[in-house]
Amino acid sequence: MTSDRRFPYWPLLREMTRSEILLRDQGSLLGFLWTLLHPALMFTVLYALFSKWVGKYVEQYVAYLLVGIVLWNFFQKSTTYALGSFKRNRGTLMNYRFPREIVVLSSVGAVVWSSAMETAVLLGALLLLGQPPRWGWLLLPAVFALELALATGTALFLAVLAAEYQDVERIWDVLSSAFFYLTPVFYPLSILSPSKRRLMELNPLAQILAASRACIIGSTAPSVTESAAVAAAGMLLVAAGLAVLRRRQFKIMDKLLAR
Amino acid sequence: MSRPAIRARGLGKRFRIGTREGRRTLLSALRHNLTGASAHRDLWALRGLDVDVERGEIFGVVGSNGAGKSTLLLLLAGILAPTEGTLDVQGKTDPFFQFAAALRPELAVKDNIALCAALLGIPDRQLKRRFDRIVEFSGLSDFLYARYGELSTGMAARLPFAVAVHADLDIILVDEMLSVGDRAFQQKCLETFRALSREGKTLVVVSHDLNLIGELCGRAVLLERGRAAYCGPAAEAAARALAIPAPR
Repeated sequence: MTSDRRFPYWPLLREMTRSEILLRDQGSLLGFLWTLLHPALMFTVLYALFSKWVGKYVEQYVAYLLVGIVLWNFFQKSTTYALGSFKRNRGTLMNYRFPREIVVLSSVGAVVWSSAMETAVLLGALLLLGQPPRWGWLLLPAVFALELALATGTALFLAVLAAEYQDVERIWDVLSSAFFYLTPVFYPLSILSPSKRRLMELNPLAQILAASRACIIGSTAPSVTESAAVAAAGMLLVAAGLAVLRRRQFKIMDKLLAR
Repeated sequence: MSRPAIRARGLGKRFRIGTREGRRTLLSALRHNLTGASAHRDLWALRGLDVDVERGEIFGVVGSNGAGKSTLLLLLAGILAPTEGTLDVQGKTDPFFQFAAALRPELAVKDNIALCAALLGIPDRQLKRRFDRIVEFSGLSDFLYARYGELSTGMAARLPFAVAVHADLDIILVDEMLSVGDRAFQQKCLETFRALSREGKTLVVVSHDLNLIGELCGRAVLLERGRAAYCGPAAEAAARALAIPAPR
């Protein structure tokens, strides 16, 4: 059985992801280097500001911060980019009939590509910093799959809402900024009070960051129970997002047509 | 007797269009739900349409701007859903209209062929087998690595058309596509439409070119303000469309 038969829209997902990747990098002087510039700048600023204060609570703060930034960037960029996917692909949606979720999935796919490059650079940087390769690195694809499910589910909801309401883009801008500080990207949860820590541990992204750090720099394996809970939440979110999108797809087309 | 390729009964499509300056925000949606206040009104783009289109038929749709022609094609393509009535479309279909809007002007012609094929559901292996034929049909062999946006409108329209005729569609929906392209390409399109019809494919052609409708189609529907004013022989539909006074 070919992959075409298992998922007949696989060539479309691949082509749309490919064209999203090409369009993102095309025409810019530095091309793909822009993708790396953003996390590099973010790292420099956060490290300069917080390494002395937060660094004393965390072993290998450089690696801790790099992992946090790469994973946060993936979530933030993929959800924000996918949010505008229906408007960006209006012409395609109006002229061809295909499962509408493909425009959202291809937007997330384009960010997966850039994040994979960031991760390769991250692992290269860790080797340069003297961090020997660990068996835990092999678990990274599974941990990233958890984040991919979480980001895809969120992206599906955001794309539907943004196609229907014009202020969703700004609302998500504000919410994702707040979410950045509520996620332990540059600080450890251990510096918080127990009550706040318990609350923050409900954030699935915090669990994903903890699991990634356990794989990359930690001495213990990621928690199976917590990872399973995040996987279940992620899959539930994707299923719910798909159901909402399919239910609203014609409403979305009416709204896109009226623009 | 076999089922028709397309059967519409009481088909209607309503849009909500703006009546004053107003953006669709979460706040305006909340206000609408609480008070019923709205900056929109209902517009029936199509209403009460009853039509059957048989397999292998070339069926025309004529009417003035805003008569509901494109809305009908979008409903037939399954891109929009009817607000009322029923619509039964038998077979694989996809519309052919604002092609350039659907593809990527920044990417190469070759990349756009692959994208267009994927959008029309052509599997990879089939595209590989048919790629040379598609390129030959389109006449774009010298432009495969040019950016799609660099092509003229007529040349650009050739690409999705060439891919679509190789896509094994059962019902082909054509919206004004013959208005672009040079005479030779238009002739090629007409010959292709007739060949597809002989193969049992159904074609629904929307055009303002009444001579073309009369010549190409067996039957046609004349739409006026969203309603079918006439449905019958294409020559008669074209003659009635011609008799509609032009808006002042």
